[in-house]
Amino acid sequence: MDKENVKRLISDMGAHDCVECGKCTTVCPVTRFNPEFAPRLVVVKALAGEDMDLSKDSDIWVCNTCEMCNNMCPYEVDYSGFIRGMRGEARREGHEPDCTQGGLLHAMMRIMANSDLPQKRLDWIADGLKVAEKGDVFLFVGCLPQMDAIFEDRNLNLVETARSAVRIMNHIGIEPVVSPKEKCCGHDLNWAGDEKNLIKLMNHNVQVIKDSGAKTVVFTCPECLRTFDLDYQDFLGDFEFEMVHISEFIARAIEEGKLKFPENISISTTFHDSCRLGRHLGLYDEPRRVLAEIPSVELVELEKNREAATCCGVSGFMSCNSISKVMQMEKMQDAKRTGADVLVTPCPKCRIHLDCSTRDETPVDKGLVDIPIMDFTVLVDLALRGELQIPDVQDKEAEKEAEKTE
Amino acid sequence: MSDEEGKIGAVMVVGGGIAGMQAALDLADTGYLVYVIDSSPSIGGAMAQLDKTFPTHDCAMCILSPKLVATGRHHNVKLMMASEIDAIEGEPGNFTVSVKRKARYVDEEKCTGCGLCTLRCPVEVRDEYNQGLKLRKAIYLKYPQAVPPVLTIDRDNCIGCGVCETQCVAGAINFSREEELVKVDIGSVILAPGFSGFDPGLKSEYGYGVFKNVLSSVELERMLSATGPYRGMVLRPSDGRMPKRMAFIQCVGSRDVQVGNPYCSSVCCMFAIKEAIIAKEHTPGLETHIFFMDMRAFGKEFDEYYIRAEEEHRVVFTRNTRVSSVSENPETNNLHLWYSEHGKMRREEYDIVVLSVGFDSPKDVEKLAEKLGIELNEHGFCQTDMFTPLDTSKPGIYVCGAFSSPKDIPDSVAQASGAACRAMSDIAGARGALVTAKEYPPEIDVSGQEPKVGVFVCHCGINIGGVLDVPSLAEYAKTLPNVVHAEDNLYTCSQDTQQRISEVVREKGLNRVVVASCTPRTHTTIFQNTLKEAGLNPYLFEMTNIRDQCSWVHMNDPERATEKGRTLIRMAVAKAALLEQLRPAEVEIVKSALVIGGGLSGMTAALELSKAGFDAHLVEKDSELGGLLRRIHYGLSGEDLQGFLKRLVKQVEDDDRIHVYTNAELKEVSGSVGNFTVVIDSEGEETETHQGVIIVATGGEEYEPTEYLYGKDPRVMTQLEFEEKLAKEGEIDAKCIVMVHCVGSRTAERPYCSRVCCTESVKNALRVKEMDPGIAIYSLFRDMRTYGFREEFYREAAEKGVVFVRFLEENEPVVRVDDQGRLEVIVLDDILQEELLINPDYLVLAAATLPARGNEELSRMLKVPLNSQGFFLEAHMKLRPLDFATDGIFLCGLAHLPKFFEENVSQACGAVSRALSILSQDTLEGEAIIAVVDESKCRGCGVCVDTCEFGAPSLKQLEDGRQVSHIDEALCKGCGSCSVNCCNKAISMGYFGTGQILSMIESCFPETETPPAEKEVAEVKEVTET
Repeated sequence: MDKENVKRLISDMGAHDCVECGKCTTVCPVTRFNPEFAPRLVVVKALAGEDMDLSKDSDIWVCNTCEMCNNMCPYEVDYSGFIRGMRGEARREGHEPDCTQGGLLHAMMRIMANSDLPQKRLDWIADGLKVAEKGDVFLFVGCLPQMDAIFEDRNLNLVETARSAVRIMNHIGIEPVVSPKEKCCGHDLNWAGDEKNLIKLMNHNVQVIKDSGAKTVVFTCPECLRTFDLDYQDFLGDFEFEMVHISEFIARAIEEGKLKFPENISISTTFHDSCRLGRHLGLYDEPRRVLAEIPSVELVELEKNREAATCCGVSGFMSCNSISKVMQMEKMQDAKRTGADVLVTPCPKCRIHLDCSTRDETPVDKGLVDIPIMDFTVLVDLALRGELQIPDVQDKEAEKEAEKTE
Repeated sequence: MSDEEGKIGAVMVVGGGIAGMQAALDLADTGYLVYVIDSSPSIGGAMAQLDKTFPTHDCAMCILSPKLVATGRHHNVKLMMASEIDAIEGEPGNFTVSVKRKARYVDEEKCTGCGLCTLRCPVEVRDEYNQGLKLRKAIYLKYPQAVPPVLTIDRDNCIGCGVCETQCVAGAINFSREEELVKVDIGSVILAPGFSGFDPGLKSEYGYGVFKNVLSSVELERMLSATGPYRGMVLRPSDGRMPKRMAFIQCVGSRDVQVGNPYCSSVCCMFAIKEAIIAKEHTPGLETHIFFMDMRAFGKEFDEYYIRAEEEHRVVFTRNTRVSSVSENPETNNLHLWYSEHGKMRREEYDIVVLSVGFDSPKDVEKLAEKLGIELNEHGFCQTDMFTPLDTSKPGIYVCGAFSSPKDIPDSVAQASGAACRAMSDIAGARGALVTAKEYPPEIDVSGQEPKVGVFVCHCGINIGGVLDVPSLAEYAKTLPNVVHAEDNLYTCSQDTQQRISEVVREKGLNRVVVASCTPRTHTTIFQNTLKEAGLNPYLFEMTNIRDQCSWVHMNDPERATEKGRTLIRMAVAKAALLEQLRPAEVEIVKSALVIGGGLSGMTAALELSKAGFDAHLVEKDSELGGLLRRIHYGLSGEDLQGFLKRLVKQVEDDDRIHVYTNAELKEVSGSVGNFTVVIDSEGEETETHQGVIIVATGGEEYEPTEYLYGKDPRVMTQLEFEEKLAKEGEIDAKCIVMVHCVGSRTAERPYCSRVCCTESVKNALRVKEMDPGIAIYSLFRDMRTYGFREEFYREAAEKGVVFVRFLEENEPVVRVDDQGRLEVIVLDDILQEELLINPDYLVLAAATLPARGNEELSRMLKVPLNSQGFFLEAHMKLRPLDFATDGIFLCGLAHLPKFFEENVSQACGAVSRALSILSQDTLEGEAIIAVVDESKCRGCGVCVDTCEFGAPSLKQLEDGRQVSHIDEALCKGCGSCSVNCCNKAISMGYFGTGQILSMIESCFPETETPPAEKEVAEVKEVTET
């Protein structure tokens, strides 16, 4: 461990302000199920100048970086930033995180960062969708097409989120730029301590956007937005283009009177505040304003909502384990208890993880967690077309059977 | 050479086809030295010519090839190719065989099989492997996957120009080789010479050899094969066009007294269905039409296959029709088939006609029989006896496969194992006497060492080196991370290079070795053994194929082929650095077997186990042994089965090694191969025992009909009841008897054929005719399935006046009692198209054979599958008919499928042979490459449990309440399915670890030379470094 680097981290993240009150640890969702882990301890150990063996220290990897701790900290210590920095240190010492899917996603991201392998990024564009090569508004699609390929067996149809975003924009007369040159934003690599590859991806993506002439970049994925807004600008200074989440974009269009929703069937929804959109970026009201604007859509809040919302259990496709599963079960039970017809999530990755949690054996009765999950953008698009309906809970057992007989 | 009794622990297997290979592998695995001799230059036999196999459409070569490699590489198997037996002397347990070895003019030790010689050989001759549809050279390899991978010079056609000798860098060509006579000492002989195909030219009415578009079914098979003359396309020989209408004529050279083959060849019906389906798949718009007499779909899931062919694949079947002749339209070369249907002469035009050729006895078999002193039957096949179907007339010489009667692959494989068991029992005392295990130096532990990779790049003569710049590849390899040594070799696999690798490993302290050469399929073991000799764990080896993947497929683009070679080497090196030492788990074997079921199969198995020197625990659910055999009284030729059964039961009861449990059932089975714990409840008392293997022989039972007034009228009975009556009463008072076939079989509920009932009906009809020739017998059937030599009994019954009436499924006979109290049977004769009304004294029903009632529960207990009909489902329908996918559990007899007495005996012996390959060892080495669970990553989702075919994973509860997966090392086959399906890769595979694979993938893509937005990176550097 390079003690100088750690010192710098402590100062950059304001960790020396820590008064060891333990509030962070009290709210930490991981600590609740894994008492050996405590955000406070990680910082305190570093503060004490203890010689940690980062190659063996698993504490820095089990953190979900959900920023429940940051949010609570009376002295505004940036715990998650500290963790991220420590991960970079660990990586320099040759320690790799435990990635889900055996690290396939991270490998894919690194390949994107390091080679110019041509990508089929725009195959999802369906008939009737209007997109442009240059223009004022850039839709950053992110890795939705790749995720669909990787999670093919789950039938999530994640690219529908991108299609919905284009449809919504087309509705108000905008033909967004979508680019085949776009690459992964680097979010997951960044949180795995791989700053080197983040920078490669950053430079590439920023250039692609600059080349498009866009003034506004719209993101459907809160992770991409966070990475651009907070991490990229941290390195490169303020961009000339503006960056917004699709919920902000829609909320603005509604305010400007450009979007009117037709009548739909009545649906009761509950909303999952993803940690990146909520605690990282502070966007709580925009999605709620949009939902409130759709006639016949009712919002029932989760017991733990907004700043108090628990996370989906996995971040950056790392450290997915039985603790993640328990956290997911709590979230799904909370959602089911609201009595809502559908759980709406603004983040495609939360959708992947929450869907996964109920697919196979569950430690609780399936009846307590079987609520359908819907993407925020897709819901708005359907409502705009008057085609809103309550999706079926995927019959995962039947799906598995069907797969077997194939 | 031999044990105290003078027995020799070696066996000669004559014939290297699928049966010969299976017998050889079983023997070799059990500790016997095996000589496989074959007149062909390579093993593989008839199966190597097949494209696909019925009814699963497995690629024949894909399933055969591993057997070829296993046989060729087995350290206890010696291949003697292009050889034949000259003479034999001695007695069972101690024979001396003189073997005539023809010269192949290529040194087997030196030839690397690179094939360069064939490229330059100027002589082109008919390629027998492709039925003459293709040409081969005078120096040749029979087919690309041939084992041994050694070329042969066909001196009949060689012009002696010597070009091959100039091409051969290995110096393997030797024209001065001469035929030699070798003497081999062995204990037993197994004959598996197979069959020869009937020459369709002998049926001159079909115009084979005259009309270009008349093919034999084997020729069509070669056309369908991707390695065939047209890469899988079916083309008319006359004009090279794709056919639109194809007809199959069945029974060409079978069921034909005229050509001297009165027997049924048993396989051609299914073979034709398979070809008709595959030909359609390969040829858009093709119609296929099969003309046949009886559809003999008597094997496992054959009837279902037949139905699918008709309903799904739209193959057209014309039953009960032998095409009388074929004529040709000389202008179009189209063919006219003449046949009669319902008494009317018909003519149909086709553009290609396929003759389904039958089985003749093997070529020159009379000479072989004379030299060995064995008897042949009247058709030139091996003479065997119902009770000893695997024994020839000469003690110590055994038989299997098509040579004992025409049969398909799974029956041949089962018999082959059976013959191996019989051959072993003569020399049980000499087991292990002639086999030696190779000794290796102790392994150096490299864990914790920095990877030091050595890379060896092969020229393969000019096979790779002629296209790729091999020296530059070696230079490139030196630049890769962790590589401390790289070199290029003329032949990396040659003996001297092996030694060199060993030396380099020691000198430079290599702890990982990469070879870039040909295919890992044939060469991995060679290099792994070299590593072992150098003191390294064999799994520290990685191989990449720059021949097939580079020089072969991109021979016209040397530069990019070399570039691809660089990429493959880079990937192999990336993986090699992450390789870990793997050691297989060892399981101690309990030297005892559990046999479930005390019928013919179970008792035969128990006795054979005892003869081999092992204990058998025989569990029978009834109060006495015998099973279904208790109800069968005589054989087809009048053999006394009850007398036999009595002797068999006594033998079992008198045998000290056999422990019989009657009124018994299994309560619990746990553990795995080598050590199962079994709780048996017998006579109300529970016993716990430990068993190394389990043989399932649960038998079957006769269906109790609900049809045709059965149970309502005493004159209606099943064949077994009728047989019992005939046997007990010794006479029968009747004027007329009607027999109905397929009662309860081939129905919607039970779509399978019960296989034995046609013959059973013929047998009982003959019995009645023997008692009183005056009794009229009507046998109402759908398809007469008296396959093999049983066909002759069918003919005999017809000759003795039994009236056979064919009815269609939709026109089932109607049975009622008329107003005078007589039984009345009304049936529409499909051929006469007339309704017959018969008043029999007895109505005998050929009732289906059902699986044993306890199968379902047993299937759950043993965790082995059943098929949809409740019979046990073997590991592979073609090549592993007696194994379950779960190691250490085997099946035989009616538990597998209804079958005949002699087939049950063969299978029981076969199951024992399979079991002996485990029992004969003290410890069992498991797989080294197995699944490993990382409990910290496991989410307990249970997907692995659902995925595994072998029952290896299960969910276990940890102390902290978490649920995680657990792998039984003894059961894991290392297939990797669980790892692939594990979303979190909590399960990883040794040697194919996720990190290892990903490192290969990532290193596959070259880094971009100029990263985008270079100047911004520079800016960033400042940011990050401050």
